[in-house]
Amino acid sequence: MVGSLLLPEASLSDVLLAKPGVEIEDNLHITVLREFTTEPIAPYLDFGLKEMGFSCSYTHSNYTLFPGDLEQEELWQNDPDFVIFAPDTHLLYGGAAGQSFAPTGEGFDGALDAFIQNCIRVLSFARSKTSAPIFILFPLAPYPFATGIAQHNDQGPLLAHHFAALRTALEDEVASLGHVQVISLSEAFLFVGIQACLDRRRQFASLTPFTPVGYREIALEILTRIRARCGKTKKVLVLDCDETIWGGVSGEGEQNVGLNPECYPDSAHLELQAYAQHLSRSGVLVCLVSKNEPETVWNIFDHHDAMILTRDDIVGERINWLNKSENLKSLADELNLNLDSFVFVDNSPAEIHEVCLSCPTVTTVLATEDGLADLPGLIHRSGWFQKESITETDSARAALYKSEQVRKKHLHEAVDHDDFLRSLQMQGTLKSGGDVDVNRAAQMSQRTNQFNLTTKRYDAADMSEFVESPDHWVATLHIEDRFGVLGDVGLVIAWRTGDSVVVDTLLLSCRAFGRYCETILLQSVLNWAQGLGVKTLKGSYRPSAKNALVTGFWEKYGFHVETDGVGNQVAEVQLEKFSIVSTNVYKSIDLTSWSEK
Amino acid sequence: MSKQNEILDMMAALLEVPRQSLSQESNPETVASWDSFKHTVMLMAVEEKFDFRLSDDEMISVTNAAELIELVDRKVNG
Repeated sequence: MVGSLLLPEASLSDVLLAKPGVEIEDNLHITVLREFTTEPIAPYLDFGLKEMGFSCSYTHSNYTLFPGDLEQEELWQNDPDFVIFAPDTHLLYGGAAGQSFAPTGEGFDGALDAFIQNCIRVLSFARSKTSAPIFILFPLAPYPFATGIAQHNDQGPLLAHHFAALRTALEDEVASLGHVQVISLSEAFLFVGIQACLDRRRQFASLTPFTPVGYREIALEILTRIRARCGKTKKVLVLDCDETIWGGVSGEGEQNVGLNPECYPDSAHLELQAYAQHLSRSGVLVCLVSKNEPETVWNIFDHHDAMILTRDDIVGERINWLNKSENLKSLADELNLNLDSFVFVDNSPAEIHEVCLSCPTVTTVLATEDGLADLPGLIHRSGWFQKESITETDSARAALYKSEQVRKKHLHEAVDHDDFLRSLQMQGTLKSGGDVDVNRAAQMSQRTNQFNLTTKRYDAADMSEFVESPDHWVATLHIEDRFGVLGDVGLVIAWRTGDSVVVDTLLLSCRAFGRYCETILLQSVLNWAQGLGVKTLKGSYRPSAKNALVTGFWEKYGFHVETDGVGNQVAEVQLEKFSIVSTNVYKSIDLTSWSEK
Repeated sequence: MSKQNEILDMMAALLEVPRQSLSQESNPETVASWDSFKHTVMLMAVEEKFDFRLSDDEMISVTNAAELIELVDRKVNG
């Protein structure tokens, strides 16, 4: 096999034998509340989680979920990070477990109600035990019982309608529990087909209703959500040019470039371009790495009528004759991102192999001629780039990075870093309370790894809760300068406890490094704490594989820091003796240009 | 790689034990993590890997590693 093992294409034996070359950073625990056999999901989850740097342990419930089953201590004693709830359909179909034909008329309405009530009972109990996100595996719609074709035609849509309504009703009912997400099995199985996922014989024989492919598709849906929640979303899609985003070899002349939308495989190359453009406009950084002359590539971008991708969609490029691994490393430096957030697509097995050897944390995808048409679907199903929500910052991200390149050019010309900062004419707006964009704040908490003191992950519901709480301070920092808008680039969350204010989260997007944004965020907490009249300001640092950059943060601001044996820090300062202005950290920045909204 | 080694490698990964600790004689009595669920996943993996389908009787008939290897061999080679 050439390139990374890609889960959407992997068999059960593939994932059992795979050894992802990623260092394990943390352990997760998943509790599975199930009414059918869910163990075969685990090997796929293990593989996907290892690629994200997690090992994982599981506790599975009994097949019955009566109150006594749910109360079993072993289900909750490991403080699960996630809960999976896998209800069987027997309540829907009024028969034994595993049945899949629907009753008709009023009986079905009663069955729907019983199913929902059972789900709510289990979910409410789970929520009383843990605040971890819960994923419900929402079952497939039943078959209608009717034998007459005309009746079937009547009953089929009615069943589909009822079932869609059931899902909506369930989502409404569980919304108040918080952090409950519905994974629809009919959507999970859409790509490979329901028939390929079901194993009816084993459903009856051993309550094992799915084939290995079916369990894999369920795992993909779960992994996509865990990835987004844990900040493991990939950020950069790097594309080769010749035989990847277009057919043929551009160096042999524009007439040899295959981009005829009426002709296969040109049409498949164009679909890959369209998908890459969609990703670019959803916040993914799309880059080119191609062994070519730059003018050859840009000539096609600028002049070929069929091109879909534009220069504006591309935030970085290395068009030269260097090794692709060297070019990827230099792009990572330029974008201030780690290579494990890169996905690299190339048609050449040799290039893919070279990148695998030199950059083992990059996810590589071989764009074979046969596989090209399926590539957008493969990337989508991998869930690498999927986020909980797309924000305004995502839509503008390509432009943000392009303006950053202009800034960097300007920096090279400046004599002194602070002179450079002053020359940017930065404007900052601190948004707090109800002005905070909770989706963007949640996204920053989930995506930010390097400048992140505690790497705690929160979703939009958490943020809303913090924003509404009088005991919490939530603020985001929005920046723009003479070269454009950087957007919301920093987040701080603090809370009051007794005579103290505790900084829970302080983070910065990588494009805001070196602008004293952290000082502004800390100052905002200090102002809030002083307004409350508390005596102490506290903070902490939790080391991760990626946040060594901020090890010395608290010390730099004059906090008293205590460190335990594994590098966790607890920091504290008495407010009466503390002033951020008295440090020289942002002495050279014009604070009057910063305003609090 | 021989079928036997492939099967033992998969078993070691699934049962989370060192490969060297497994032999043809390994069975649920000698490997603590070999429970009925791991047994089911193991058989699903070999079915998919070697492209055959086991009957319920065949699934139940496997009681140790040697029997699994022999069963795979029989299904593949007829």
